[in-house]
Amino acid sequence: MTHRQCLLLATAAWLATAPAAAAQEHPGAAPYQEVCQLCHGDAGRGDIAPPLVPLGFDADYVLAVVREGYGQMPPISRRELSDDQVRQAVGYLASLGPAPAAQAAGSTYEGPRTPEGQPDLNGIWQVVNAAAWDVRPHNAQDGVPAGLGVVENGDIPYQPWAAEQQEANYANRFEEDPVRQCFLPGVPRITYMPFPFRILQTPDHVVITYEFAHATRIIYTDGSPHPLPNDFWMGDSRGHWEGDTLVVDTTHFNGRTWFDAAGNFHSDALHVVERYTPVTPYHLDYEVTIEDPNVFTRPWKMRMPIYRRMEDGLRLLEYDCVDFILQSMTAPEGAAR
Amino acid sequence: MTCRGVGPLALAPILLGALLGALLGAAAAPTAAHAQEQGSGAFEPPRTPWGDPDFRGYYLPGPYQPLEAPAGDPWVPPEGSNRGQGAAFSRFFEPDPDDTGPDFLSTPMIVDPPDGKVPLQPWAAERRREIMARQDELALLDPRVKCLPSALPRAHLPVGYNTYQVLQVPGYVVMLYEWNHLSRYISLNDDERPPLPPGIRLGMGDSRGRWEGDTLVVETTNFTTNTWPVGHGAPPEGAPASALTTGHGVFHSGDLHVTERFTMTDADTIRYRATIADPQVFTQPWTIEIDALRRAPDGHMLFEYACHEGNGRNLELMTGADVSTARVGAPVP
Repeated sequence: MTHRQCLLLATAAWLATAPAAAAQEHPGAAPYQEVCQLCHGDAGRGDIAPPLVPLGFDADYVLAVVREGYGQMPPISRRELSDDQVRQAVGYLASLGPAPAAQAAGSTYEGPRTPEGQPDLNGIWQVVNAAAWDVRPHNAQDGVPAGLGVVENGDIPYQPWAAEQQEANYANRFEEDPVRQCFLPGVPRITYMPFPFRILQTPDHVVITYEFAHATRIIYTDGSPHPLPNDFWMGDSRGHWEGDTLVVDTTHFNGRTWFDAAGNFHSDALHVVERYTPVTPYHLDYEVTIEDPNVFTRPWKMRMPIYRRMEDGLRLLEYDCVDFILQSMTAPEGAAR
Repeated sequence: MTCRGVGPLALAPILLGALLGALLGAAAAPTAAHAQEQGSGAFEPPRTPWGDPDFRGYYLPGPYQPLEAPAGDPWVPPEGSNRGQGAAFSRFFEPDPDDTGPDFLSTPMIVDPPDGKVPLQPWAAERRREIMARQDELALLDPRVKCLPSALPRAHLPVGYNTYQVLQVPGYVVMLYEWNHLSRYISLNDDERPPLPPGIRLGMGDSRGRWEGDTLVVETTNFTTNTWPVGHGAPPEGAPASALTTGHGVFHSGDLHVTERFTMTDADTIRYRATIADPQVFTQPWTIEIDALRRAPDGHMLFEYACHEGNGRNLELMTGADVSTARVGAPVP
């Protein structure tokens, strides 16, 4: 179904059902239901388009996306939805607040908590699997361990052209892999690179520093929205807690990163939702939802554990990839200093 | 949206700053005397819930100021040039017409030794001249231009896109640097941390901190040797062109030991004093003192500064080396 058809059907659906329900609703409910609901779901819970609750965007951003379009979402004119109506709809979605802490009910986490009552994730963590080489099931190669894969429910749902592109990426991976050019790995690849990372958790920030290329993510958990569109190698990350789960919403990618060293890829429409759920004080359940309507036929998920590193005196060391690039370019004497 | 160095804008990580500084006639910082008068423990900083001085927040770098005393004849600022221009990149794009700026001063950052010069050993001074004469060679080029770590105290010297976020949790002060996404975890509990083996090296070094009164004192060792401990301080208006590189080409050995002192002198300013010791390179430890961190306006945040990713063409223009052809191993488990 195209977005345009969605809009038409949404309008029809609203005309059929709205009058009874609309009485005391938020003034933004009507424009939302009229134009947005059929794709984004009842009360912003998501359907064929991503959920919009909790709303990780401010009104200016939403307005820009509404007018410009995003991925499969077409631009929507002021005739269909005025600026004021968009802002009202944003107010409506914001009023729906964060989703109730569904996860908390089933939580079995009994480990340490911060003074604010959240699970205390401070410390050094690492993924131990073969996803960095290939997120899909794969056999060993020289220097590459085999892996069962981390993609849920089978393979990655590439669109046909994208499946071909991935094969080409694989064939050219030694030349084309952005990490081999020492570019920042993006999200979620940075998580399952074979290097530790350190979480610093404060009431309004979760900062993750990674040993690989001293990459950093500053995840705001202060309720602030994504800024206006821009693009970053590591995206823009905004987080919130749903019960004991840290949910991180990341957008604004530049489309130049890969998911692994096997050429699995995405476009700049990538939208990543990570769920970090502590199961014990020593491991997290890490679930990642990948959306990119330019590349995939549907959203898909990865899942893996993240383990706490337990060594005494452990700290992040350094893998300064840029230095290795430079060393490969300079004469062996390299008496540079 | 600001125009600070994100993505492809990050072309000439350091020279751009120098150039802007020169174009602006960027100038001056409070005098040491002025600074003393403001400081000396008069200001009582706010406290974190656990009782430490509260340095948390976003900061811009201090104003431009030469690192060393200019070479040659004593230099006198031109008549009427009694205004400074803040070093903040964002202020370059949106200068505040009402900002009268700090008092004009050409005082070097170096407060010790008194002559305001980096006390290089003779062989090191010769080596520095050679390094500066061969900046068109990739191997000798300014490490920051190559997107290597800024090291210390260079990370706190005034450059437009050095903006900072300071976070604190019990036991740690964490500093995030916008430039090249660098960060430092400064441990406040030395007892809980065995020292790093001497052979383990980090671009920003291994930092241990302690509170001396309301001053954060940080000792850092275990640096890599592929960085410069300082870089340029852009010169005040009218200063000799050589002042552009007053801090350039100063290198260090694996024995570099940096002692930093961060003191909040008012609600918006952190004075920074750093003593640089390396008996292999310098004749004595030497010290800089500047107002290095100035609280940023509300709404400031750190953006991604992907340095190397946009730097290939820049390096090719400067050195002829085409790093876009270089590949490294993709790390695997």
